[in-house]
Amino acid sequence: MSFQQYFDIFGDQIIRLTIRHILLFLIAFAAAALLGVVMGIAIYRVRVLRFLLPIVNILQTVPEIVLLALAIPFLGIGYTGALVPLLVKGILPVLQNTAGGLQSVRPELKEAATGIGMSKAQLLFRVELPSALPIILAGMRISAIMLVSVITLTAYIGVESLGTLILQGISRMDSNPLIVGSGLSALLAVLVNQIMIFLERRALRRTGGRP
Amino acid sequence: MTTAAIEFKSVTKRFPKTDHPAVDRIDLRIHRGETVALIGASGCGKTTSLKMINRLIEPTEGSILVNGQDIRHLPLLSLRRSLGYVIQHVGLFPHMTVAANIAVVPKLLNWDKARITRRVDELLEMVHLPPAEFRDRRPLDLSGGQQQRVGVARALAVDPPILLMDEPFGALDPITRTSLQNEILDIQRKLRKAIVIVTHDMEEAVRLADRIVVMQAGGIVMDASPSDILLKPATPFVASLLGDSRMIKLLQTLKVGDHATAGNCGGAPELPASASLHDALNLFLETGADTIAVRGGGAMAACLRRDQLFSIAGEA
Ligand SMILES: Nc1ncnc2c1ncn2[C@@H]1O[C@H](COP(=O)(O)OP(=O)(O)OP(=O)(O)O)[C@@H](O)[C@H]1O
Ligand SMILES: [Mg+2]
Repeated sequence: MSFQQYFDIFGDQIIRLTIRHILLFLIAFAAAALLGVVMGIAIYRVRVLRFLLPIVNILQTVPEIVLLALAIPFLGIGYTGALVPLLVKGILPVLQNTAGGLQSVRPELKEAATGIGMSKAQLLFRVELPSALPIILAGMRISAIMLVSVITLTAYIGVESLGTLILQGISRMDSNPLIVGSGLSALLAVLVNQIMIFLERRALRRTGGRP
Repeated sequence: MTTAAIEFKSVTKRFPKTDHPAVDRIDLRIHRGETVALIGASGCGKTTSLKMINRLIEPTEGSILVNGQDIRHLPLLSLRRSLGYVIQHVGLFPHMTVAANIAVVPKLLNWDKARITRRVDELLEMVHLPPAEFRDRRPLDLSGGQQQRVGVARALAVDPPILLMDEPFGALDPITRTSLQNEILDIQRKLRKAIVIVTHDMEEAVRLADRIVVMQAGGIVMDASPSDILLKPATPFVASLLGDSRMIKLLQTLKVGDHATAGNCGGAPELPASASLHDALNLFLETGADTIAVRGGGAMAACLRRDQLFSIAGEA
């Protein structure tokens, strides 16, 4: 089958899988970013939770595929089995950078804010989070790049994504879906990376390059 | 006796795991319209004393009153919002524009937008930063002196009756420093606040303050007017603070005749025109006079007023 014929026949499927992939990414990333920031704030604010940080570091080093595999006995295959491990992996860098970023906000900024009468919440939202934003965004970038490519792996546990095309290519010994699937995945990864870098630069400019 | 704007009543602060108290039983009253300078060597407790006023640090013993009320009984956030605070390292928020930095406290107090905009422009004018040019700039694009000005404007935003300044002009070149000092003098003339300014610099203290409080190892070793500090240092330590001061040296080198103004001041104590301003200073303090008659400076009778002398001293 020529590339042209492949497109004519499977075009709809390619579009559907691409949209699936993007949706899956957006859901996993939004949830990871939100939970990561919230948990990062909690760890920063509530001292007793700091013991979690080393655990986070260890979890961080477990390969995604291992987490996906480990999840199967508990969560089965399908969306839950895919999203939960992805989420866990996606949260970690955001959480780590949020807690770290908040900790590195210059003490004189916190003192100025407190001294002129901000409450703890005002301090957090008006000074600490905006100051730590470049670092938090850097964590989100790591998380986003990881998620957008790891989502291809979820095809192994029956979740439709661009990974499905890659698997098809492998099982049918057909280079067309292989090229399309991996090419689009790579393209998405590059795109996500560029968007995140853009946001990060903008935030860095605002804070003058330091938290 | 009128209620002091700020009153320290035997205040002590011991930090955990330290041998000596950072602040040791200090008593201090600061009135409205008065500028008081806290001066002393690094680590003597100046910043600690200042931060106890806005409760960034809590005293271990003793109490602090603001307008006659124990600050522990005042709501913390509204206390802080009523005290203008210029911190030791400026502490402007880099992610906010100049205008947003100045507007922080008005926003906390829920002022409406129009009022905030008006106030921000007014303050920028006051510290000589043209609003159209500076409103939307970011602190990190400003020079050190401009940042300090914004810091002062931010502290004055809601026109607090009390202004706390911790080495506000510490890191500036002498010219910028002098011009900012002049602005503080100007602001104080107009607004009559109670100002506490921490400084390392005796010249700055003499220039700005009505009273100088010299601290050493957590205690107050002298609390007096600038002239008394200069001329009757209570301890060798106070004298050592003056030791390398250019001011006394300058006064010793300037001639009374060059600074007197024409006029008649018969009956006032007299000095020859060739006497130094330092002699004049001594004479002022010995006699308590406000004017000195200057002899022999040519045909015209001439006088030197006490405030003239101090403005020269401040200039040094
Ligand atoms: N949070 C703290 N914990 C322990 N000790 C402290 C703390 N803050 C200040 N100190 C100590 O208290 C003393 C007074 O400090 P303070 O900051 O008031 O000095 P300072 O007079 O403002 O000095 P500088 O001119 O260097 O700013 C110092 O010995 C300092 O080390
Ligand atoms: Mg200090």
